[in-house]
Amino acid sequence: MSEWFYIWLAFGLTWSVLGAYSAWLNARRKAADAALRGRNGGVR
Amino acid sequence: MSSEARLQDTPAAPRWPAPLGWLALLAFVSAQVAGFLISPPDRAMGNLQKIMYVHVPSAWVAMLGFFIVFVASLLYLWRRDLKHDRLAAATAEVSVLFTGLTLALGSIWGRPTWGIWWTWDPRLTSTAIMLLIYVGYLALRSFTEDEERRARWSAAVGVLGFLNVPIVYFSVKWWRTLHQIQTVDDSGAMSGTYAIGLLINSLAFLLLFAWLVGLRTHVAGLERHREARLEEEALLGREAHV
Repeated sequence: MSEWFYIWLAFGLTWSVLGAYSAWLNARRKAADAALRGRNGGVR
Repeated sequence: MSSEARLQDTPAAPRWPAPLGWLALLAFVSAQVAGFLISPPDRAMGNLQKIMYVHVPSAWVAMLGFFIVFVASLLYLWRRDLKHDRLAAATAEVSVLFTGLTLALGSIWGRPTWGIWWTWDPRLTSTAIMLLIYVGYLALRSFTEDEERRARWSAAVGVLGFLNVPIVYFSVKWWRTLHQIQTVDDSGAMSGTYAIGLLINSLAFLLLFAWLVGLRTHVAGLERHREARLEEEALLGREAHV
């Protein structure tokens, strides 16, 4: 296989893993934020 | 005092500085593009050398992360402050992610360069052991209900587990290995163009790592805050029934 296959595989994997983890963390932050706001009648 | 008033007395959850995330993303994208554009093919490795711009910074931030886990664990054992435990746990999770990435990227580089995906080389094996130690650390946390006990046991693993990190770092010097020696060592053998590419990518990875650890710690704080509120509500509910 061409060396570019391995290069794109490496960079693609890095971007996908870091992107997916960041998105998951952000979703968790928003959910926790919303739960706190909901419990406190909108007052933070 | 009414239950509503008492709930509003609970300190507000901290806010998260969103611009830091955008800055980390911008730095990361710029560094990756620069790494692609500025470095010519290496004499021995050709364009595969570019994988160094993701593999090496990933390994560096992972090891830095485990050092932070070590320091935060010591601080927890000394001060018994749960914020140090949250920092250690958040850093361990992010560092496990980067260690897994390091191994996968090394494997992708090894296939066209060495002709194999994996070998039981001292550097690769000690890195895999490091990954297992910290996966164990995270598993221990998820199995332990009591907050204080979880923090105490995790801190012990966070301190003892760090013993393996210098072994990973020096493995290429201590043993004859297939893996090349440290990318940046005392001889300063790397040429300027490659060193610049590695430097800017390392800084971008560091920024991204700091953002991820900050965000993970923040999420842990919010979730702890929410648990405290639920406990308080349950207590107020019981008081109201008496």
